[in-house]
Amino acid sequence: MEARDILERIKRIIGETDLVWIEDLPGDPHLIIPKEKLRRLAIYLKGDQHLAFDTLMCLSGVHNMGEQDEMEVVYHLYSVRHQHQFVLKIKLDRPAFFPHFFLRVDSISEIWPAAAWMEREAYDMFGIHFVGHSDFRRLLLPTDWEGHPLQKDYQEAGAYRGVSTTREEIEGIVVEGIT
Amino acid sequence: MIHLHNKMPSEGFFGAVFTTVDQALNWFRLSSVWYLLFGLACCGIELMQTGGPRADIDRIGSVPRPTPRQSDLMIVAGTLTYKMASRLRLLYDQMAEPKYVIAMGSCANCGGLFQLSYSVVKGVDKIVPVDVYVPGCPPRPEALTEGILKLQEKIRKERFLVKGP
Repeated sequence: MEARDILERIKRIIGETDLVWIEDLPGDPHLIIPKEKLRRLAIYLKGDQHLAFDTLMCLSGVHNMGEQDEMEVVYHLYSVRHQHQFVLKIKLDRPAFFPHFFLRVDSISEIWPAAAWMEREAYDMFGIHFVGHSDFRRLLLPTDWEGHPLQKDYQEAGAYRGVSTTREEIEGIVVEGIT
Repeated sequence: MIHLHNKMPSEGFFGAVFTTVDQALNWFRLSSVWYLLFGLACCGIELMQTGGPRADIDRIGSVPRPTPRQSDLMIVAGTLTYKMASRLRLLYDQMAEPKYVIAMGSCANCGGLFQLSYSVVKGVDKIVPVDVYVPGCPPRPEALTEGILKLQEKIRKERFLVKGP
């Protein structure tokens, strides 16, 4: 099934409101959906026999800090049975005050178990919370790490557990880019 | 200096060694520097090659050990992250004295290619004291062999039983 046919089926099930279909940009055509509809749509995408998206290939976080500060969660889905794929996106506002309160998405790890680690990684790197995850903690960084390093405004701490994170200058050699 | 005599003309054949305790201890120690396998990244592959039949550091007395309790030398081969740093310190603390550390490769020396990263320790000397730094990315087995020979030279000069310089 082509991406447009999949889009038509999705429109039939969750309605056309608030959907943004983007196909003229470089890369895969994708559908931006409001985050309230994610869980219902995910169950449908996996369960429907004509779509049968049995594989979640990738779940990524994206941080855009252009005109407005927003984050995205991107879902790459694939159907082994029908050999077709589809890309879903969710956009999250990131206001200056209490950003962690707004960076919340429903977890889909019950629907696709592959999402469990990828959601934990997205939380680790971007600070996006996935509500309903059964074992939600950091994946890669230590548990006492402060901050989420792939956020664009991440400031590296001066030390971690007493170990300085800067490289000392050796005989006047200044290493550029290290503060 | 160690003097070896295995032939005395008047007494027939017998073996004798004339040395000091310090020099004898150092000789024994530098002739069996057993190293802890600590491959963290691609340097670990070169570390395996160094123990392999071509470079063959068995011939200078260095054999790999899988446990810190039997090791004299820790070769930190690769990129050290902050999460791994506490484990590195734990393994170092479990080694018996006297113990030595070789920082192998650019990452272990100063963070190397990844020194702008948020998660990489800028040199293992921030965690444990380092005796020999081996440059390279990664160093060839010959370079690591040279590092172990340099460490042997360092051990040869150590003095345990005498106070002062």
